[in-house]
Amino acid sequence: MSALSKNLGLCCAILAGSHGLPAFAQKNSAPIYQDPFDLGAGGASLTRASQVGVLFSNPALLAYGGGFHRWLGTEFSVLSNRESIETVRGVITGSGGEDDASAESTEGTEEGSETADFVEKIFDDPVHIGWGSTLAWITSLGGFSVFSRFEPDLRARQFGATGLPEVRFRAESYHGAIAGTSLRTPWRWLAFGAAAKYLYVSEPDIAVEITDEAKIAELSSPDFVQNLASHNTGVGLDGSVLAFFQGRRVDYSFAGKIDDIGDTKLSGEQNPESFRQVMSAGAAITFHTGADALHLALDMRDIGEVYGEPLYKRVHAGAKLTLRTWVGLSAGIHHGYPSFGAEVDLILLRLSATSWTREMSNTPGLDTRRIWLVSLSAGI
Amino acid sequence: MKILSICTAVLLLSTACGSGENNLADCEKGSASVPCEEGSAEDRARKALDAGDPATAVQILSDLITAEPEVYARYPLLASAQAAVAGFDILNVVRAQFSGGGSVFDLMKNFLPDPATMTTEAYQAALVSMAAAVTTLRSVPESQRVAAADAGESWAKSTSFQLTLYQSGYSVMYLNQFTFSTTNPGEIDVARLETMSDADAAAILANLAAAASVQQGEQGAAVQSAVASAQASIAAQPGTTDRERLIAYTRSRQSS
Repeated sequence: MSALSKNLGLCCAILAGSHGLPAFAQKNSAPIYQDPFDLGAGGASLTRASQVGVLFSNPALLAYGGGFHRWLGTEFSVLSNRESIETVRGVITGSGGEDDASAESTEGTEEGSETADFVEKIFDDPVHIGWGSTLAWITSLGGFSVFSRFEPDLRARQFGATGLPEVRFRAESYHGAIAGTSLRTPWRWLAFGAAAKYLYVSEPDIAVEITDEAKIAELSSPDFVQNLASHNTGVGLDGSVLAFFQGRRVDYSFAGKIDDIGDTKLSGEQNPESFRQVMSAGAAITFHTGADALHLALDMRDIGEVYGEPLYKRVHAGAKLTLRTWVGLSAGIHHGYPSFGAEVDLILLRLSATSWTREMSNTPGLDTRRIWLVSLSAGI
Repeated sequence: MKILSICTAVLLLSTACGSGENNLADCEKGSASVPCEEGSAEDRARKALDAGDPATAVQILSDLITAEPEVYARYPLLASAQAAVAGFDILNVVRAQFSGGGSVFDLMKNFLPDPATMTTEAYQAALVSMAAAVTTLRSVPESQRVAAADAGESWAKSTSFQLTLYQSGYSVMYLNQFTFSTTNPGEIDVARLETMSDADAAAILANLAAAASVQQGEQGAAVQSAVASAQASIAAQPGTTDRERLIAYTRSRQSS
């Protein structure tokens, strides 16, 4: 096997092998957990969120809607970018090694060949996969959920940060519990919300030049792997407000939210050290009949730009169309790219599929992942 | 309401499915109605490199270094872009096994532009770009580079490694001018070696010596070993001048 395959293959094995350690791209203005249907609507969820997403997006939303009991159940989702699927398929079918140079540089065992194929592929196509799950009970007064989300990302570049070929591993590993409640006011149109959360988080971000054998050796040390597996913990508080003006055919909503009030300090040896306080605002208009609704929303996250994200990553716009309460379609703009989703809400099951694009850098088009997600919820 | 819903759904889905390759905020390919985000100069350079346009990256990074010459971490990235303009395939270099013990000329020939497939002008331009890459890396004060490398700074280790690669690569490119046929692409014309001057031979050997003497860690050790092997072989050739020994060495490689 060539030096490239050997070194990069080793990097990948070490980094990918740490998947029990969950673990990207550093916290930004997005909520730590988002419902798939909301992501399909561009992530514009301050004025309307689905199921457990209410707790993370805007707990004041709990005050509106019918009945006391809203949801008791679990949700599980898996996601991947298209290239990851193609990479795996290419390696399995043996079509991954299209490059002549790679063919020349691979030799020996079939296993070695597959590794070389994988190595060659990730120079062209990044790997981004992940999963998320929740277990929640949501009522009109409040809700509680435990959640877990893990999204690793692996990208190799011919020209890394210092000009040499580099592989970079990042991950977002967010787990914990959240409890939220809403507070109605004497004015029917105004409600407040609050959510307290316990967080168990890690955001590894490791770049390795594949020529740097000393660094690769360092990565394979037990101490490094143990350190990578550790998470930081902390407790945080979110606050929100919702002004909801209901009409016969048209509703208007205006929302405000402060995430991580006073900054959420995280203790431990991993990154990040804190989640910073973020202020966001949103507005929406909903056209509805008794059974169908069309919700058009616009969110502006991180108004104070504390995370330094450019405008196009902080503005989320989208539409949600719900038909007869059991079919939903959503579409929007997420990080400057179109997003869309669909869900079918059966009696005990909810199936949803979503696709959106995530820009990993702040520069449009530099480091994008088109992500596809499927989700299954079971509950009442 | 039904008609409105259906129309809206169709509109949104067609919008969502019908596009998506380009970011709306992209200054070149985005929407004119959306405020564009240009990104940092470094990101633009990186984008150009990813798109296979190292010449643009060279321009952007050169401007950045002119504006802030003390930010040495940018130098190795600029050098790699300059080497890419020269046709040096760094990814193929990394793919290769440097532990095989072959000479640097054998190792490098597959990663460098082939003078037999290029016009003389294009090859000279590539040679100039490779020289520029070496100059860029040499602009980093050695004391700073060594100290930063000792402190584990990856830019410094990359600078040392690339300096070894590009200096040896430049030597091979320089020598190749005198070995490849100008009339029959892909063929070796040993007779052309006679056109090499004493100054040319001195330049080739000086770059090899410089490549061998770059202080660095394990990263470039295999390349330096290959360079040292070539230097020893050249020194062992018959002849009274560097030029004669280099010509003899090249002839012996061709005949073997």
